[in-house]
Order: sequence, then structure tokens, then C-alpha cells
Amino acid sequence: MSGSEPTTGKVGIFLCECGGEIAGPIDLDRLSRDLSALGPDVSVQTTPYWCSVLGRRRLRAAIEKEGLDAVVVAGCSERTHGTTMAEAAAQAGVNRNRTVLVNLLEHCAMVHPRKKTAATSKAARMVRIGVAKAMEAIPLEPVTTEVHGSAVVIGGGVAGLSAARALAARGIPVVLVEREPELGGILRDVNLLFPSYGDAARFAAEMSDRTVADERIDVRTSSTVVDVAGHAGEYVVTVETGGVTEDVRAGSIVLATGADVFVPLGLFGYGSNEKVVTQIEFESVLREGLDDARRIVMIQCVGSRIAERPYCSRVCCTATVKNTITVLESVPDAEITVLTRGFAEYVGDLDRARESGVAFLRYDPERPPRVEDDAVRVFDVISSEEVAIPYDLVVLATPLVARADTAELARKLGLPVDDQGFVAEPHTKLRPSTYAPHGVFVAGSAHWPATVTECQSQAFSAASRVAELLGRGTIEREPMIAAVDELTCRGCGECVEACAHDAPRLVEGEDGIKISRIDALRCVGCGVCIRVCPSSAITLQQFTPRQLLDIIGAAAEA
Amino acid sequence: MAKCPTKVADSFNVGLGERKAIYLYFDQGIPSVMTIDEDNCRYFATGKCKVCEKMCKKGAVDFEQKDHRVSLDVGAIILATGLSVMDPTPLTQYGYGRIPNVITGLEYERLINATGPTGGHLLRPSDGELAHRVGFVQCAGSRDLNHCDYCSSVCCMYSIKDAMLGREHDPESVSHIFHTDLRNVGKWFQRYQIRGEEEYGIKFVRGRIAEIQHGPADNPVLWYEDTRTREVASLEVDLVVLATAALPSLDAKELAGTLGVKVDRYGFVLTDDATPSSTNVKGIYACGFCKGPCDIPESVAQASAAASSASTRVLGNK
Repeated sequence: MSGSEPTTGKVGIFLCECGGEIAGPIDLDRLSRDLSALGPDVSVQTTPYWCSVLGRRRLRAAIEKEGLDAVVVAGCSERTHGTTMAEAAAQAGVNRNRTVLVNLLEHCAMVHPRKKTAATSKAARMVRIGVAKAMEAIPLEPVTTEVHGSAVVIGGGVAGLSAARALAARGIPVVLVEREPELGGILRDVNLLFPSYGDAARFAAEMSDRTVADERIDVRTSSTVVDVAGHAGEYVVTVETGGVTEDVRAGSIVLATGADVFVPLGLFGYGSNEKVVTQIEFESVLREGLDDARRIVMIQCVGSRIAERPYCSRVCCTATVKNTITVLESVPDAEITVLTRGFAEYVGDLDRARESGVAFLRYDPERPPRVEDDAVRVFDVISSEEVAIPYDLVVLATPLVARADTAELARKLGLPVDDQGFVAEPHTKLRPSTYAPHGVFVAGSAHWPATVTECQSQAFSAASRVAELLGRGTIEREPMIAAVDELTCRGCGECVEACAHDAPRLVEGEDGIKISRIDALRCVGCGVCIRVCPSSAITLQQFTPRQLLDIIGAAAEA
Repeated sequence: MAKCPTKVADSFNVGLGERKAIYLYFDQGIPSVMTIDEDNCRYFATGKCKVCEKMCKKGAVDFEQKDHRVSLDVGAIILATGLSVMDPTPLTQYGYGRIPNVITGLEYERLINATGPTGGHLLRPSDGELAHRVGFVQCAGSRDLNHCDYCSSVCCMYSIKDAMLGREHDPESVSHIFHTDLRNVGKWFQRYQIRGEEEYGIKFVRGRIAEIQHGPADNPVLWYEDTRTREVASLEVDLVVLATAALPSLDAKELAGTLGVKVDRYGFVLTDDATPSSTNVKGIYACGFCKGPCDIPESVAQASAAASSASTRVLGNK
């Protein structure tokens, strides 16, 4: 274990009343007496708020007076007050890793408001666990790294373009990587925008032109990202253009690779019946101008909301409604029927379409519409009747599906993807717009099907988070890392194989013996290497086996 | 607070509980500072009382404080005024205010909340009995030409969540959700709905409620047409929850007028496709529900977007 210094072994327990929030449900006097009995090396004190200026001053004074070298603050959560309390204790000389928070507020007081005796016993056990953790904690320093002041944006659709332009506007140099020869993404194939009904392709072209003209943005079209190394603040992105690769350094990365439109081969005659097109192909038809097709049948949810793809693609209903209105503006005598499974255009113009004469029928996925030579036949749920609708054109609304290469790229970035191949965040509601790897952000449909405005919001959001990260100059990271005991390591390289983040490397140790060494900046503390190590030579620095055994011991103690 | 003689309806608990005239907005409210409700305080009404001032050992109670106006010189303004919820009383067919066991989604949220007035038990207003059979009425005022003709966008999902919470708190709970279209358009929302149906026994019925009648034992009786079977049916339940329409916040129009910001006919701030955070006024940005119905992740993304636009303007980094 790396250089743990001799300690005084004195631990201070700081019980927080949190006003009355903790002092009400928990008997702090009894708790204090129980904990004082832990031994002569334990001191216990109580104050209304340890987090207040006065409280922190008292904490520092107590540390100095009693020569404490481990601190347990029994109050609220590590997430809300961990840094505040660890910094206060560090000012008095206690290593940050030896300050432990025990969440009495949320894990005890608030959940047991009316069971004082039991809650107090539970609190005592929780604090004892904290003491075990603090006393065995290795003194660690945060891992710091210089931040490279530029960003890489992967993907040149509306999300990627918006992100690149927002970053450039903040003075941040950007390398924008686009796999296609042209910028603009799916928007180049779209006829009109929603809700403005402006020209989508022109919008995409103008945005692309401004991006190309911006000297702070280095646009690489027909290029792909083949490798990503490094960590937040210092990434090396390998970009390939026409067989030539180049390493691009960046402090942060925005993934904006978008999604594919599902191609419904074999469904509703698509691929064999030339009168059947997809909604995105229909956008092109509308750009060219509708020829003599007058009777149009649109079918929603083609390939979505089924067992294989159990999700709603979010944007199709709005696009369909927009297209019906577009058709009727230029060809008022067109007859449009939309077959739906329930309409999900949460921001759209449904009422306007209805007033313009579009017919909406509801179909049952158990009895789907049949596209036959003369007509589309469907069982209309609302009227409980089988209807036949003659057609000149059938338009299928197909979902956005994750691109196959997004999963590959996400793996290189250390981003998890869900079972449909969309990039996953740690929590969709509680931590939206944040992602597991520290320096990587995601915008647009690579994350989930999104409208043009949603793509832009997400892009600006990603840009502001990138700017915030790069603006720091240096970043400090919790030392949640694994380290190798070089005396025990036999240099087999299992950890190198197992690591997804390229953290362990085999190096020549003393006597020319191969040993593994872990790069603290790359390590994310996942622990995979610990499991595969045949010599048990690797330890997670914030959770040593000794510490964990003591914690379990304290938890199991009666 | 304990000694204050005046009790008033607790607005945080949408009137379901009581608070004193000197109070905390809610337990975890920030800042965690007591406020005196001038409209209800006995001292302000009669010139006598000041019990709280006498009780407070720290001398923190000050009856002389006055409201004051602050002028701020800023480079950008971000509107994030959120939403208000429609009062469902004008939807007379649903009997809100007339049938005691018809409540709103927000009231349900307080009842099912562990820190709420009933400690998380779904006790219905008429008799304080545990409600086992719950009917959720979607689109109460939304997608309704007579009231709000737009979709409020968040109600389908919160009703599913509420019904799931109901089952978690009470294994005998059975919820019916009466919906128009079930709009589960967000990330993995459909999977959530399937889970609600399969694991929490939620019954989904496609049909808008025509009328709620005051049944025996104060039980509401829901009348509806199940549009899948074309049958008119009724269902007696213990409690009805109205998913009331979401509106722009009450003073949004006035504020927009003061700022010169354009709003649509409902009062939502207008932005355009090309610059989704910017309003028509330079330097004024908007995010979240004040621009139109949206859920939490979308609000957060919009908020960061507005912050990004505003900071670019303020920092002027060219």
C-alpha cells in the first residue's frame, strides 16, 4: 500500500444537530455517550451546524487541540457537504481521504421520524462504520491535471454544428469531425423545419457555411474518429481523413453523431411497391414538389413501439403533421389519411391538420394496416370498421435508430450505451446532461431521438459544460484509483488486458522484472483489474481490504 | 413557530395541511429562514401579539422589516418562471370542489409524500380512509378546445409514476388511468409505462371521462366510453386524481409585458427554431416551462443552453 504515514490514531466524531432536523428524531445525548465509550482515542462533540462558518471554525480548533488525524462528520450527505467538510478538516491538517461523512440526516433522521430509540441505535452503528472507514483510510492527495483549452466535436449535424459554434463563440478552438463529405446531417434531407416552417436545408447550409467560415473551428469532413486516449482535460483523439491519421489534443469531447432513420424493408410493401416511401423520403418528394399524387396514406409507428424496439421515436408524429399541412398548403385537394396508434406530437400542429381536413384513423397493432395493390385496408378502432383507402402514395413514419458506429465510438469514450444503442447517462431525471466520463458530453439524437430545437438546446448545454471544464485551467479529481503493490505484482498483464481505460501498463521495474503500473489520471476506480489480478496485488486506494473488513465488522457488531 | 396562535392553510401542501403565520416555506426550503405571513399574522392585523418575538432567544424576529426594491445592473436576463397549474373548478363535469374525493395531481403528490400532511398515506379528504381504488383523469383541461388546446406534456408520465407510488405504499391499490393518447415520448418512457402495467397492475383505459358523479359513501363514479370497445361504462373508485392542465406562471404575461418579450396566445415565451434560447429582446433568454410544456431533462438542457447564450453575451468573448 502506498506510503501511509504513521497516524496518531485519534478520531474525532462531530455530531450535527442540523438545526433540529437530526437532533429531533435522534437522541444525540445518548448517541454521544454511546460513541464516547468507543475508547480513549475517540472524541465526540455536537454542534447545531458543523457546516456553518462557526461550526467549521470549531471543527478546526478541535482537530488542532486534540491532535486528531481522522474526522467523522455525522450530519448530511457526502454529495452535498463532503467537499466543504473535508476542506475544513484539511486546513487543520487532516488528509481529505481521512474525513468521512455519515449521512444521519437522510439515511436515519428523515426516514425514522417517530422511532427515537431505534433511530438512535441505528445512528450509533452508522457512525461506528464511519469511524472504521476513517481510521483505516490511506492519506491520499487529489489527482490534478492541466486542462487543454480546446475541444473536439464528433458529428456535424445540427447538434454538432450548434455545439461547435457555441464553443467558438466562447473563444474555444474546436476541431469538428464529420464522417460525410458535407456538414448538415439529416437536416439536409428535411424539407421544412418545425415550428417555423422555414427551409430546413437552407438552415443547415447557412449553419454549415458559418461553421466553415469560423476560423476558430477546424472542420474535418470525410473523417472519422478511430481512437480516443487520455482523460478529462487531456484527450488525444485520433482522426482519420482519407487514410491519413492525425492525433488531435483536446480538453473535452462532445459526441453528436446523431441517429439513423430506420429503413422498413419488407414492411407495408416498402422495397417492392414503388408507391410506398418513408417519411424522410417524402420530405425530399415535397422539396421537389408533389407530382400528381393526391390520395396519401400515412402510417405511424412503423418499426417502433414494438417488442424489438419498445420506444416511441418522439419526432415522427410532429414531422407527419407538419408534412400534412405542407401538402395541403400547396395542394388543397389532396386527401390525406393518417393511421396512428395514438398521437404523440407533444409540441405540434395536430389541431391545425385536423381543421385542414386530414383524417386520422386509429389502428390496433394486433391488426395492422395492409397495403394492397388498390387500397390500404385497416381496421379502424374508433368506428370498429374495416375500411379501404385507395392511395397514390403511402408514407411510412419510421423511428430514429441508434447508429451502429455510435456504440463503437461510445466504447472508446468510456460512455455506456443502452440496449437500443443510444448513449446512456447516469440518471435520466436526476443527472441529465451529465455523463460518466468526466470530460465527455453528448448532444442530439445519439442520446435519444430529438427535434431540431431539442438538439440545439442539448448542444448549447454541452457547450456550456465544456466551457466550464476548460475554463478551470486545471482539474482536481478524487483519488478514486487503484494502485499496484509492486512487490506482489508478477507482471502477468491480466490487468492491462482487462482495463477499458488503458490505465495499467507493464513497465520494467527494479531488477528488470516486468511489473504493472497504473496511470492515476486514466484510472476511474472501477475495480475490474482487482478482480482479474491473480496475485491480489492491486488495491482500490479509497477502499482497502483492511478498511472494508473493519467496516463490515463495525456493521455486524451488535 | 410552535407558540404562534394563528393557523392557516399550508400553501406548500396545496392547502391540505396547516401552518402557522410564522413559518418555513417548506422543510427543505432555501434559505432555511422563518417568514412572517403579513396577511395572517395577528400582530399585523390587531397590533397585538408578538409572541414569536418574545419566544425567540436570538432576537431574530423583526416586525419593522420593509419590502425594498433592488436595482440590478446586468448584461443578460434569463426567464425561468416555470408553470402554474389550472384550477379545475370550471371543469364542472369533474366535480372538483363539489365532490370531496376528487383531487388534483399536485394534491396527490403531497398526500403520497412521506413529508406531506398524511405522512405518505393516501388518505382521502372526505373521511380520512385509505384510498385503494384510484382513477386518474388525464387531459383535465388540456387538449380541450374550451380551456387549453395544447398538450401539457408531463401529465401522462407523472400519473403513471403516481399510480406506481400508490401501489408501493399500499399493495391493495388499484389504479385506472383514463387517457386520450398516452404520450410517452421521452427516453425510456414507454418501457416505464410497460413496467407500470405489468409490475404495478395499472389499468390503462383509452377514453376521456365524460362526467364524474357523487356516488355512495362519497365515492366518485367515473362515466366514460372505452374507445377500444366502444362501450359506455362507469367505475366507482375511492379517489379521483385530475391531471390538470399546466399553464404559464400566473404573472408570466405581465412580466413579459414589462420586458417587451413576445409570448404566444397562451402566454408561453416565444423563441424561434434557429435560436431556441433567445427571445425577441436582445440579452433576454428563456428556458424551461415558461417557453412551453417540457419535462425535467429538457428543462435542464434548455437551462444550460440559456446560460451558455447569456454567458457568451456577458463575457463578450469574440
